[in-house]
Order: sequence, then C-alpha cells, then structure tokens
Amino acid sequence: MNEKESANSLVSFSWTLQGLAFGVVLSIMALMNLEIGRFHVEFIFLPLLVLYFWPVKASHSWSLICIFMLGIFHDIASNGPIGLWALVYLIVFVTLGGGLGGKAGFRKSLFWFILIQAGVIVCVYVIGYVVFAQSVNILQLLMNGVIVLCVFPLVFWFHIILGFANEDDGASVRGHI
Amino acid sequence: MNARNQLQRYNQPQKRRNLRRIIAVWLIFISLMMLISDRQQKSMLASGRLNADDLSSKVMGVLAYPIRGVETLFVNWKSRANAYHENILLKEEVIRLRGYENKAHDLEMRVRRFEEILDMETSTEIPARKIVARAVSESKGPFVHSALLNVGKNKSIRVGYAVMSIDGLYGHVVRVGRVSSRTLLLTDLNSRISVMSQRSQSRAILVGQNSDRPVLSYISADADWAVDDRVITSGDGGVLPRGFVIGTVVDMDNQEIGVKLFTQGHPVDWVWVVPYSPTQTPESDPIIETATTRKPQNGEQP
Repeated sequence: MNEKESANSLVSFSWTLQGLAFGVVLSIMALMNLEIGRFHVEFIFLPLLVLYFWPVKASHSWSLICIFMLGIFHDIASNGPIGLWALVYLIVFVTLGGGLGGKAGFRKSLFWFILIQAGVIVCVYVIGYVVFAQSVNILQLLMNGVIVLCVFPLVFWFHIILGFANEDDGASVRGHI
Repeated sequence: MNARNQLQRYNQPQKRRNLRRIIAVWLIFISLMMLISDRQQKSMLASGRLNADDLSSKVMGVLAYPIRGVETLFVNWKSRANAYHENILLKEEVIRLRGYENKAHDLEMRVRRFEEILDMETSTEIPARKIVARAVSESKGPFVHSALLNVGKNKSIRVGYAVMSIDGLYGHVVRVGRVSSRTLLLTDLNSRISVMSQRSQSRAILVGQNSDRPVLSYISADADWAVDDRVITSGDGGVLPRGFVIGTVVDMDNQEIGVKLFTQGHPVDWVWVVPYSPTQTPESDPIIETATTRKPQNGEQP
C-alpha cells in the first residue's frame, strides 16, 4: 500500500467515524418522547436517517462494523432487546448498498426513505412475531414513521452542510477497506 | 512477475467485495444470535446496559427540560381553555366530598377503636419514606415500555421498589445503576402486578400489553368486577405494598377487562420511589429453631 492509498484509507475511515458520531447523536435524540394529550410522540426511527444519509466517502467495511455498533448502542440505550436494531440497521444498509440519500434530489430521497421505512416496519413486525411471539402495535410504528418524516427535510439539509453527499474525492476512496 | 502483479491488482476489487459480504453476513448472524440469546437470558450485556443508562440519564436529564417544557405548554393551553368549565366541576366536587371527608374521619376513628379492642395492626403497608426522582426519559417502543430515573445506588434505590407519580402507581424498578435506574412501566408486556378491586376486593393480575391499556387476568369465576371499579395493588405475594392506586376498569368486552391507568395521558416528570422490602419466605430467612432441630416440649412426642 503506497502513501496515497494509506491517506485515502484514513480519510474514508474518518468519514465512517463521522457517520457513527452523527448516528450516536440521533440515537440519543431518539430516546426523547413527548406526551401531548392522548398522543405519545416517539422518534424511534430517527437513527434510520443516518443510515440513509451515510457518508458516501466512508469505507464500506468499516461502515458495516460501525452500523452494527450503532444498533447495539441503540438497543442498550433504549432498553430494547439486544440485537434487534443492529439486525434491522444492517439489513437496511446492505439493502441500500451504502447511503442512498446523497445520490438523489430531495423528492426522490423522500420517496425512497418512505419505502425503506415501510420495509423496516414490516421487518420489526416480523421479528416481533417470530422471535418474541407478540404482535407489535403497527399503528404506533406508522405514527413514529410519520414523525420521522417531519424531521427528514432538516436532516437532508444538514447532511448536505456536513458534506456527507459530496462524492468529488470519494470515488478513489470508497473502494478501500 | 509483472503479469502476476497485474492479475493481483485486477482481483483486488473482487476480494474487497467478498470481504464486505463476509463481514455483512457475519454481523447479521451475530445480531440474530444476540437477539435470540437476549430472549432467553435477560442479563446479557448487563454491565453495558447499566453504563448506558448512567450516560443517557445524564444526557436526557438535560434534554428533558425543554421537552417537558413543550409538554407543559400543551397541558397548560388545554387547562386554560377548559378553566371555566373545570372550575364549576371542581366546586361541585368539593361540595360532594365534604360529606365524604366527615365520613372518612368518623371511619378512621372507629377503625382505630376496633384495632385497640382487637389488639391488631391493620393500617396500610405503604412506607412513609419516599425518594424523589425525575423520569428523564420514557421509552414506549414496540417491545419495551420503560422509564429512566436519574437516581440509582447513590440514593439507595433497589430492584423491586415501587415508583409512583402524583396520579398513581407508575411501575417498579428493574435495574439499578450508579446514578440511574430503570423502571418497568405497568403497560410493559412483562409487567405483572397483583391487584384488587377497591369495591369488591376481588383479586386479579394486571398484565401489561405494550399498549396504553393493560388488562386484568387470572380472574376467578366468582370474582366481582364492574366498570368504574378502582384498581389498587393487593399486596398479594408481598412484592408490592397493598393500597397503591392504579386506575379504573373501563371496558369488559370479549372476556378482557381493560384498565385505564391514572398515570396515562399526563406527562410524567417527577416521581417517588417507595422503598419496600418484599416479604421473605421462611426458607430464605430462617430462624435457628426449625422442625428438625426443635426439642420436644413438655408432654410432646419427639
């Protein structure tokens, strides 16, 4: 490995860590809840946004490991069953083949994100039914999905500011482990 | 040699792709195994959970202020909108309760007199000492309904202690960290509390369903439950004291009795943790003299 390749690997690793840091922040924010009258507002799908807007310059292999760690962190912090969100996040990331949000415009990104959320809701429902033998409240999940859609424009704008979508010098970097 | 290098360089992207696939498959497999293991063994990554609770209680303690502010804004707005109507209702309630107050004082006096005559203690088991805490975050996810409190071992919190809000029983402590503790809410699927009707004293188990409305289960055929019955803890099993108010029976459809919790619909911020030592079985707390070691008394056969 020559110097240029080493530098590229380091850069791609640093982008992966930035994605992880952003994910941890969103995971902590996902623990927030609001009790407004009869409505209980939760943000459990918030960390999905970071998978969707994962830095395109990040190393793919390290990203997989970081996303696994992010899922475990979310499971522990939310007191949920360990491995649930790690599994869901990995499935989403592998299905996406990396972050997708940076490659499309706002409308297209929003459309694909709605599809991914629908997939995640189905995934959580199936896991709940098969592993835990309980049917999850699908209405609650749908409501949580709608709430995260309200936050979508803000995160879309934020990921452009952070440069997660910038592919300029990413093509040569992305391939490195 | 040159051709070999070229071949190696040509194969590198494929190798990387293969490596990624292997990593992805392994991580998905590990996640699945963890999920299945966690289902069997609740103590998995227990120390990690305690540290995460300590960390998130500090962070959420700060974040909770603006969140509770927003909640209070909505509650205040609603209260102000209904202030006139509520004022009339409250005046009527005060008039109605004056009679009950006199009756309660009279009953208290009579019960105390009976206790003196019978030389027995029938007062409530609810301890007077309470530890004030803040519920910094409440998680009502698809699988777990729990709350994080900002007190832990530093305030002598222990597993099993009851957690109350001003409206009624909120849950009980299931995990204690250094500066935080985790409360299992009554609505959680794993929550089982022995309860009774305050009217008929019929017993049941309050079972959480991961929804807003827990149900009564294990009800005997001759039990007398009716809509609007107040549900309180029965103290059976010695896990929780008797007399904590929980909610009211709201529907009795399809052989399921639904309970509306008093804590439902209100933002829960400050809570009381009630220290209570569960009643110990004789086996776990034996005295020196047992049936096998006991010496025969006068006239008794050995």
